[in-house]
Amino acid sequence: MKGRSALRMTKLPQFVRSRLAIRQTAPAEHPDANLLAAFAEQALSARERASVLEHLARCPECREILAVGSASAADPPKPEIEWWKWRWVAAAAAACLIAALFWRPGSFQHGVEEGMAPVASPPSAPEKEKPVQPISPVVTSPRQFRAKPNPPAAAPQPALTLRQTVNLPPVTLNLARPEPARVTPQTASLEIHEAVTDLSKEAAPAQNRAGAMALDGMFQQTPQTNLAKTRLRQFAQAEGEKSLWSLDGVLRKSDDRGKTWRVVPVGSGNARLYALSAAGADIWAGGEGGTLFHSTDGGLAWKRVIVANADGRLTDTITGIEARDADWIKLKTASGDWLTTNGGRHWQRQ
Amino acid sequence: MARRVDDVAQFERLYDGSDAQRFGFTREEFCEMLAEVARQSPASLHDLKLDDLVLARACARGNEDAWRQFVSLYREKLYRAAVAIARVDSIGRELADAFYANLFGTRLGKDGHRVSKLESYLGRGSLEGWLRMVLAQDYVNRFRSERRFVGFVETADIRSTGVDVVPDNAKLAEATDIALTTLSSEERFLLSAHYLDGRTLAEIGRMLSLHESTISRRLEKIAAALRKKILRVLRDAGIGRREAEEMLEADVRDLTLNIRERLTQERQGESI
Repeated sequence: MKGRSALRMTKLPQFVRSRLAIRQTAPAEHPDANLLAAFAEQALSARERASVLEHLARCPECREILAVGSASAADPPKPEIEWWKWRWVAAAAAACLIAALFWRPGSFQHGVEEGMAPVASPPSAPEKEKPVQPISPVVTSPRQFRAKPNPPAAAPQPALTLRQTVNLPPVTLNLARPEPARVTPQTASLEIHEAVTDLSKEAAPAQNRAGAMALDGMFQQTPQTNLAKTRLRQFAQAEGEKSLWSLDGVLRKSDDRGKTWRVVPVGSGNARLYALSAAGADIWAGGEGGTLFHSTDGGLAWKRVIVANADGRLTDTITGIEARDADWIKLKTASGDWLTTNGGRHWQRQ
Repeated sequence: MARRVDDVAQFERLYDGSDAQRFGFTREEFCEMLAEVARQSPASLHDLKLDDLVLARACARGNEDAWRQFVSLYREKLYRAAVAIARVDSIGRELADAFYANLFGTRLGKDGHRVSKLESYLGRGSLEGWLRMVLAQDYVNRFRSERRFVGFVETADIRSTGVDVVPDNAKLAEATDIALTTLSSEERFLLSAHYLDGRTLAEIGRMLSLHESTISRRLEKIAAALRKKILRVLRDAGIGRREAEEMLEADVRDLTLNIRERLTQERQGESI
């Protein structure tokens, strides 16, 4: 472990760390240096940043590269000043200011003892009144302490389309500033493994090693565990939905945070489903024989998706699904990966 | 037609405002470069670092003026970055020299021209930031390839994050998985970077351009929220509150025995 900061940290229980470690499955595609540099400089759009963060949450290799690259930068980030912590200082400063505005020197009379005539105080030379200096508050506005100023809004500019200038296929260069996108939290699928006690029956044949490795994608074969293969049970949650989905051959749904589960029949209900992934309101579930189902409304309605291209149709078992957003979905099978970048309308074999 | 004139005017402004002409790019070549970047990276032209992009592409073409400017701007920074990454001066210099050779281009392409690493810079982040990331990638890949030649047991020790993947109590594991699913990507990234990778708060702060105190507060919040969620799921599963809390506290792998302290106490007891 590297040296720790002097700031004390709440310890994370070991069982949480072990479940977190199981989720460390790096997808095949990694962000390149362009994306990582733009991420470190906060120069990505909200959507791209969310996608890179989702990858970084699962990929220790890319986290290492980002950490090493960021460490070599010159200036450390400045601390955020939480203006709300200065409220007491602001209140005290305001009280001092009010007191200073209303206080005048020499405004108190001498005390008078009972029975005695008041002592007439000699007329004093009029004092030159000092101008009251207003006390400048420590915090005038929380905004002045923000580390980064808000970028100025620019008028939208039309896209530039180049057709005749060079002999290139038409490419639209977008000169317009993009609308700031809301960050939609990516809720990725969660794959956990349950140990199978009788390993001999379920050992993957050598020729199907690629499929077995895909199935055990996140599984790290360490000497301590010595597990050859595990069975998947997966969880997913669509954005904005309280329902939880799980998959262990059949699709199940829970509306009470996992307390109870009910089977959700999808399609004819015959094919066993092994892979589940959610991105936004889209949920994908796939399994035997290339069976793939897709819901665009958080699981209310499902439709069957045929995965095919000019070379043929997918008939292998889908053992893993990675959905980055509504358009980009990758399916893992024993014979290779299938990728769509337009929400399942076209598929490429990889 | 008026719109096309406006588009062309904007393009001309971009061309004239950059160093493209100075480094010998014609308008067609400049346009082709922007079109190639647009194909590879879905960014608005206004978000691109055009000056850095033009400099990088000019260097990749072998323009001497561009190389002189590049060396004057980045040579020392790169050496300092390489030494900071490698933490040993000699290794850092070796890393930087190899990196420079890569940037210059030691490989010939099919048409006989040098293939420079700078051709892959797309102008999303600054050129300096991109150079640091590529340097980091080279270092991490080199270190990883050297580790592959270590024996199996040693490799397991190096790769080990100190996290045991022996299956936990099933209900606790399920509750933890459900709770982790509800975390955002950034929250899972923070937890993974700090508790799995062992990154310090300052290191994570640099990765996210935040101060370490901010990272500390966020991690505290996430850990507390996670604990609450796990407890709630366990209780929803019918486990009593006390039992659920005991399940959270009673992981024996969390017990850390301070051997030295205990031995010292025992010795003191014996001497008395």
